[in-house]
Amino acid sequence: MAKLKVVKQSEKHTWKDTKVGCVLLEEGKAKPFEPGQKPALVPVWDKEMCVRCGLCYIFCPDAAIKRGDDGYYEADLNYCKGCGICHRECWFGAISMTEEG
Amino acid sequence: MDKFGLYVPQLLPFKEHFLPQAHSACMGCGVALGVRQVYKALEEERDWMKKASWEIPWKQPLPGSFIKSKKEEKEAIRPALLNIEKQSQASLLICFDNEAIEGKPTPTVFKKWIPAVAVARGFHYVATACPSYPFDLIDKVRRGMESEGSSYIHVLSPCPVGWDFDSEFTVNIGRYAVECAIFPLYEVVTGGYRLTIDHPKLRPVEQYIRMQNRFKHFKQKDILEIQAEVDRNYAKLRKGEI
Repeated sequence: MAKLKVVKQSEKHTWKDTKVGCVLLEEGKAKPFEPGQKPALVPVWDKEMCVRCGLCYIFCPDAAIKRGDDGYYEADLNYCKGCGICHRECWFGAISMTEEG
Repeated sequence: MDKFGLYVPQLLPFKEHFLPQAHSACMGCGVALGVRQVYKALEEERDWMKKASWEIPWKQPLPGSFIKSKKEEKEAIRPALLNIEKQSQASLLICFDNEAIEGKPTPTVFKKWIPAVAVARGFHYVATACPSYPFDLIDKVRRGMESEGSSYIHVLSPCPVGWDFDSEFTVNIGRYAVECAIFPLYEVVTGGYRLTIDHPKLRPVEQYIRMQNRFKHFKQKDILEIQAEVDRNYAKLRKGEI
């Protein structure tokens, strides 16, 4: 299945991009969109303090926190909005909100 | 066993199937958090629910939901209603209540308690839940799907924009609401009330109210009235008399 193409303002949408008869081959969904926003504050994990419990993962409203192969958690900064719930809810104080870059 | 209770989140499915990650809700949104946890609970039902052409059968009420009053345009963030059809003719209704009202909240008017209406209307399973207690919420959604008739779940979802608090306190404020019994967590199975989370020592309501700027104009006298009302309701609920 072809990935839904997100047309930016710089790219022009021409007649070549439309299918014959203007048929939509895919249903509309919000999943393939990547907002690519940059939050002001970004969660950073301290791996010495982290016990890999997953509380940050269950309390993330944007589903941005994912488990890596080693069991530690990471935030996908494409989706993270920097709300700070993970920082507040971590029992061990392993997450700090820092400025990006 | 108590030591390993912290690791329960790892038992949940890690795949995110229903929540579109690029949703346009505000940061720290309680509704988005609640919907995500509901879909975690419904993981096993995925195959027959996927027949809907949309990957997530959910209408996002946040952007562009305006209520126009006569004098001026006012914006109000409405509560969302999720209607999940079961395989039988019954359905599971979930209301995400963010307590949005037009204008300033007044201490003398309490909100309509929809779970009581649902109980009186004869729903087979009625429950209240809060995303601050995720496993309680997930249990209740699963139990609601299993019950034979229609079921209704009322979810308190804190709203950082409407309630005017810092977005990192979303989960914290939900926990305060349960601990001071202003939003008790219970379930009703064919008329019998049962508290699922019952704190022996309740917090004073003042702590919950002073955390939010929407109640900034409440005076001490108003808070005492609210405390009396909450205590009366909770005493009834503990006896199962409501």
